[in-house]
Amino acid sequence: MATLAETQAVLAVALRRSAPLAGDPELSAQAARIARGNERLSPVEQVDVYREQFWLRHVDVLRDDFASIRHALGDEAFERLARAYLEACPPASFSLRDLGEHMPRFLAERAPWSEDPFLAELAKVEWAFVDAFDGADAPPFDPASIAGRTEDEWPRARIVLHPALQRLSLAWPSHDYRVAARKGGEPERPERRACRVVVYRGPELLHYLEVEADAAAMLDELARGAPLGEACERVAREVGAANGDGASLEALEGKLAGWFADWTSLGWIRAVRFGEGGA
Amino acid sequence: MSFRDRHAIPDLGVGVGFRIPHYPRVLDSTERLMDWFEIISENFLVAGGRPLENLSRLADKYRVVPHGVSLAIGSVEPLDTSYLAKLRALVARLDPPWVSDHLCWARAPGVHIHDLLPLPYTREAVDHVVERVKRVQGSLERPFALENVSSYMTYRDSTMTEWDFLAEVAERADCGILLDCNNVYVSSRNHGFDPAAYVDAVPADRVVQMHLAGHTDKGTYVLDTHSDHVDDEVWDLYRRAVARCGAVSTLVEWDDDIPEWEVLAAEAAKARAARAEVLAAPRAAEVG
Repeated sequence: MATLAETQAVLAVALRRSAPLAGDPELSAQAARIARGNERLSPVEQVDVYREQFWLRHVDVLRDDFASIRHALGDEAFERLARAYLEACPPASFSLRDLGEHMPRFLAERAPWSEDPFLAELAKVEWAFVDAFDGADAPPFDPASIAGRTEDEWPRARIVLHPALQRLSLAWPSHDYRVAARKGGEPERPERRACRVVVYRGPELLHYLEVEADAAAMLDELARGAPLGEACERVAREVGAANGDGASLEALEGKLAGWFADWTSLGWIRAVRFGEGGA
Repeated sequence: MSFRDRHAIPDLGVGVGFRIPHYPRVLDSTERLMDWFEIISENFLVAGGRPLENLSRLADKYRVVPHGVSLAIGSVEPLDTSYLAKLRALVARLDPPWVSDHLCWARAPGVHIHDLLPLPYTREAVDHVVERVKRVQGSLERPFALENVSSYMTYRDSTMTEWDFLAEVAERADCGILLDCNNVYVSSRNHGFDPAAYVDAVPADRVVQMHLAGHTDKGTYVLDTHSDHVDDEVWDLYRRAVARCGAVSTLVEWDDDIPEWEVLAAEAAKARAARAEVLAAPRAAEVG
């Protein structure tokens, strides 16, 4: 009699085999020593019922989570990708929600898909939407929390962004492609164009917004918990260097009030902390 | 005193699963559309966002019971403490009268199979599951119920029937049972046993909930698909189970090819009527 551990170990291998068990004589023999079978299904066929379900279930989840990649590749090629992914990154979390978390890295590293970096970028965008959907909440911004603060307090203030906010740095407008593909359209693969995109939760739906480079850099600084004054200096330096025009700190500070108003109304900013304790 | 009495397990009536296509209807209606709702626990073990907002809105109006699919109580892998911590938080949020999952295994080293795999019905498996149920029940501080699964394979090593296995685990672990009448029927078709014998052998006082669902005949086996109306033979089993167990909370599952709300509500109404009819009959318990 096999122990429970031995039984589960054999079945776990058998269920992960992508083709029918009959094609693997050794595994079939092991499965046949475990399953009893009946007059309609042999022991191996009984195990195959579960094996088929393993692949159907997990490929279906990936098909839903990465619909734009399925559009880009077509159904058959996507199925090959999904199966290769599941073999390399078997489901490990209790939740199917996490199944595709390694897809961006897998596509970036594994040939032949790594030869087309647009695919890894699409996966990154798709996964940003997953994370934005059910990421942590934070209380809404309270305007009273900044009432009465003096001008010299703001450089040390740390602005807290919504924890589910996703900031993407893209080489293509992949977010537009994703939306068009998911709406059932036939979008063409876009021309390469660097862009920065924020994915965020609205009151009802997920939204995305393309932002300018300086705004994106500022959001990056705020997300890492930099005090506002330090964030402004660094962004001015970086953006100025990137543009070759030495954008001034003054010009950047001129945009701050507008950004602050926009980002609080969009729900991106959830709090402002004036203490030294950090975000 | 029975398990149900000791834990003051209420009869919630007849409910349905809380599924996405019905969210607007259920959450926006000012009417009370159902006695209670069951949720798939894992769908709400998330950090935040719409899932939890929807759950809060549902729980404001209805009694909600979490039903898990990923605990893997029969796996030899250690219990997933991170999962249990999240489930405990969900239980604290909902304050349900019980929590349920399946009598199955699903995890192995390095992989979560996300299926409800049957266990071999052996002494070793009984001992293993009993210890883990005790730990789960203690951790959740809530009555815990095990559901019998539909199965498509049997083990050469099994030394007892499924119903004896379920009964012994429940008795020794001192837990509840979620009796899925469709699963009993599906497994009886797949393995050639008498489903009535199964229902008659279940410790009636431990049954805290029943499930009803549809299935699909695949020719060489019957698959538990939750994609159709409850089959007539499952209704018969349900009546038998109600006669034996009494007024037990009942849940209609419909998870694939999900119909309009009215169709699902009609199926729940059918369960309500069947239940009422059996409970009104004199000496209903004689059936069992």
